[in-house]
Amino acid sequence: MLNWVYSQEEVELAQNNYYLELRSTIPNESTSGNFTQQWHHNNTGQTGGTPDADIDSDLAWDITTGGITASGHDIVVCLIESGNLDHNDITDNRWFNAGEIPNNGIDDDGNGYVDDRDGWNPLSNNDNYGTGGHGTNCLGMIGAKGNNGLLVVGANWDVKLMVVGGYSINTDANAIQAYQYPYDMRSLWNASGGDSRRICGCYKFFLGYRSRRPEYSHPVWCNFYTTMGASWNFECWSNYK
Amino acid sequence: MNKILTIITGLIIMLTLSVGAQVKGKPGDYVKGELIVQVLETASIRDIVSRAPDNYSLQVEKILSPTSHIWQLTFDHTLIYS
Repeated sequence: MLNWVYSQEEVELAQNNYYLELRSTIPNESTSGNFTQQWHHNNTGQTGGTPDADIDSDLAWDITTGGITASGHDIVVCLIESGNLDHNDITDNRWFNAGEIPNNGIDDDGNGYVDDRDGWNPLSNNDNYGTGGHGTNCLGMIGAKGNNGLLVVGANWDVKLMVVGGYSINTDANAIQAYQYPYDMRSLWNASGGDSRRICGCYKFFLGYRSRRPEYSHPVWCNFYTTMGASWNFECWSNYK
Repeated sequence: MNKILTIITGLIIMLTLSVGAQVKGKPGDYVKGELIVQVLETASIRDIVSRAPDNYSLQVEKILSPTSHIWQLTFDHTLIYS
């Protein structure tokens, strides 16, 4: 089938719709939920690990703990997964689409998505992407509110967290649809001259391929990924095994 | 000279087979009967699909990225290997 498709001169790239897998295995032990357990920020060996095997967040926080850009705009990080933005340590940093009235069945801001107040689930065509534990942990590591006396601290204390997807994002097709949403929102933000809260700085995507070279097997995905990075200066992360 | 040509030809064939195997992937790694296709901006996906042999049952499932012209197609995987 691929050979026939590629024989059509209007076709640039084609591929199978590959399954994706979560890139992380979550143990069933619960964490204690405090900063000293977050060894990735500042590892003193407190959990038995190697001292200074960390990202030295505490040193970076001496310079900045987040906030707006030099031009006065919010920085939005989009998590492509399922995640709980109602978590009490995260909700202060949640992104929402200020141009959309929730649950009125109308595309209020004319962006092509109806009722996308809290992000987008491309499979269910609404903004319900679930409350996945792994994604919530990721949100916490990215941008749990800092210095608020609660549970954990994100790398960025003051950032806007967008969630797109849900745990059903398990194929290349799903992933492309998911990435299209922040791409569209960033495009609208650019077109609007930056007067809305649609700016997106980067994505986090905890899915990976099954033991193959994506440049060979996933040319459409790779090209789309590159397009996004080149178009709006996104920083995109995705890995494969 | 002939020996060199034979070696080069053999290497090309091996490389082609190797890359081809990786492109197709293993059955079970992907959704049977589905393809993702990126077409030229000026192309009509329905024109492309209409040219497919009938027994492929090739159909347009949905557009995945309007800005990058990426479509999801379906076909009868019981009749043709992806």
